[in-house]
Amino acid sequence: MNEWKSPDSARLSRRDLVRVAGGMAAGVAGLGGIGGVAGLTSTCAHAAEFKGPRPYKIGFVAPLTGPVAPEGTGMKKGFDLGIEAINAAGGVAGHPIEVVTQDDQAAPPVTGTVIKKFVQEEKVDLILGTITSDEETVAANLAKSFHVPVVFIEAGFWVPFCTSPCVLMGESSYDLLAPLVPFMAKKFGKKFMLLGTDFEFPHQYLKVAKEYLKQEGCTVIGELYAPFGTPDYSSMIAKVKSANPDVILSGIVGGEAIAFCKQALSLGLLPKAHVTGVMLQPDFYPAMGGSVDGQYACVRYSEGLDNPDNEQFKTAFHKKYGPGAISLVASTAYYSLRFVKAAVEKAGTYDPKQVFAAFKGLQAQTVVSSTPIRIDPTTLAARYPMYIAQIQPGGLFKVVKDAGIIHGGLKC
Amino acid sequence: MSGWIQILLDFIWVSAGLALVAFSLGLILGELKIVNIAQGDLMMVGAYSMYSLRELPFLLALFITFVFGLLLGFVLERGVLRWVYDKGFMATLLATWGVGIVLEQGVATIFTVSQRGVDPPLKDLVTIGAIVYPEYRIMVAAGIVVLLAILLILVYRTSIGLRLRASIDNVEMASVLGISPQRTFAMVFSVATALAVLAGALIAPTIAINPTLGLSFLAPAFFAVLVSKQGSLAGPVVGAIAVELVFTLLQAYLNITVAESILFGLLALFIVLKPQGISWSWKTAREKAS
Repeated sequence: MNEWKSPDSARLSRRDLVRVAGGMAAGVAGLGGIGGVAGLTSTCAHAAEFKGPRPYKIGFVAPLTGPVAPEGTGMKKGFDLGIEAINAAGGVAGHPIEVVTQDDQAAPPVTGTVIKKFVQEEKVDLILGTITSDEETVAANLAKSFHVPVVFIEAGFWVPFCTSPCVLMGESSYDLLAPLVPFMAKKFGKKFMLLGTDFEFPHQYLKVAKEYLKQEGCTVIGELYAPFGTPDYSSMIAKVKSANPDVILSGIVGGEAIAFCKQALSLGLLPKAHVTGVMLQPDFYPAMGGSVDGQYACVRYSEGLDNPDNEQFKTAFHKKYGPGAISLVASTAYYSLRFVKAAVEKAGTYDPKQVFAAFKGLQAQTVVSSTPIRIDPTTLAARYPMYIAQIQPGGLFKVVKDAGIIHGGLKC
Repeated sequence: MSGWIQILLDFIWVSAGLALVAFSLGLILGELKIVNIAQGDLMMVGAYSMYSLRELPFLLALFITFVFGLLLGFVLERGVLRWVYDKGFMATLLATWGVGIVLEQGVATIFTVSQRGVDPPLKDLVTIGAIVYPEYRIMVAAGIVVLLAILLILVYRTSIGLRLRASIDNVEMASVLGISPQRTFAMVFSVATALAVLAGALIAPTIAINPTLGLSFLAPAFFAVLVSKQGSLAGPVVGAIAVELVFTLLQAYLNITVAESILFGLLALFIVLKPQGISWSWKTAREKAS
């Protein structure tokens, strides 16, 4: 259980490469690799046949203000770019996608209001977005009531997704931790200190971490949490220094992660200590002031990934938004729309139940790998190859190990 | 032993920053009788000012930020607050809340909501006993202590301070004696704003800069003011030290979330039991003792 594939098992065959290249070449130039989707998915025949009765309408909900606004705005950048690319390539079912966007401030009651508005007033066909587990829980429950498919950009594995029409495009904590824990334990030692921001996701993330730590025979020498908005981490950092762990596994997220890293650097904990976890995000690097150079993280996407689709995505992203790191959620939001397009055209209808069913086992080309990514037919979660990356001076997350697709973890 | 030195240094650092914010908050509450909800957002403006001026020498950026704070305070007082003084407590409360929202959204529009950072001008660590501590924090804490000492001397030992205290005690009587309330209000709000902006500028190199950063400083600063006698200008400084002393000790033994919950619970209980606050002056303490 909870095994993960060796890097070899996830590599491309020469035949795959030829197919990918063919698909890419068949795409429309400058469309961010959309042509590659048709070349790779089994839906191309349906795409050619199905002409929708009207534009397909997507409700995009994101925390554009509030505590996780940086992630929400990053997601919107990727989403907007993805919409442009899909529409430039002909849209979905022969029509440009219609989009309605709402900010939910990462506040679950607002998420609920937005979802109801999307369904009852805007009559959307599908909802896409959200960052936090709290938003996902509300969205999943309402999706079940209203029978509307929801595509989550970040996966929350504890939400009732198994009984709701939810598609999980982010990686789960199992994906993030299965390769990371053994890598860090082998490289630096088995004494782990666990840190987190005090809300649902970090608690669940670290709970999963403890399963893998136990498997690896590691010791948890401390587990500390701090609430959102903590301005000073001195006491936490002092406790970490005093415990002297081999590895600090951190579920501190958002702006808290930046504050923690900056203060850890100024208090002499970093850069000597080995810190890893979801705290390390490419788009936060500029504000971290180089405090995390040389540290290792487990990611599903890196700008350093070498595939033609990623090159096109990066070029389009920087052309539209200028220089700066591309967040993980931006990349996911971008290619998630390809799955939406493929699902609708495979279903051959806008009927929400049939569209949701079409996601099961669906494959599409993405920027994270040269091989197509598949939606698991049971859990409806995207199965990604995960990468161990080392943070380079300047902020590039350089892939040092391809951990392959993670098996186990999510169950329905 | 090293653990206690660390706790002591952390306490000095956090209480210095809070004392500066609480002093400025107490100044506005005492003189203008306004609860300034925008105080945290003014700190945020200071942090963003330092981010904007990060290419300049640190002290020059700090000076420009302080002057900007003075001007901002003057504009806010003349442009917003003076129109609502006579409309009651709720109107002024809502006005400062509105100012805070405008500042947050304005900054988010200009800089986006992405996290920003400023490098500290001093990056060395100082060895104290068995521990190391950032030179920047020690210098800033020392600087704030000196600044607060100068401000308190100004308030309690100069004619300007006398006029200010007279105006705080009884604004009508002070105006009869030739102390212009309008001028005093504008001056006090400008200085208090500049001090809050300065506090944000000084802590900017140690935090993640985002439009909502001020929120986390607001509650402790209010409690520091509320535990001291209303109208006292030294009180919020001592109140800040008391609040941070309890918080630092709680954090040393508990998770930050638990420590924060206990702290705010204790402070709420204190305010229920002593709504008039405590006079921290030696004179009052001696009088009570005798």
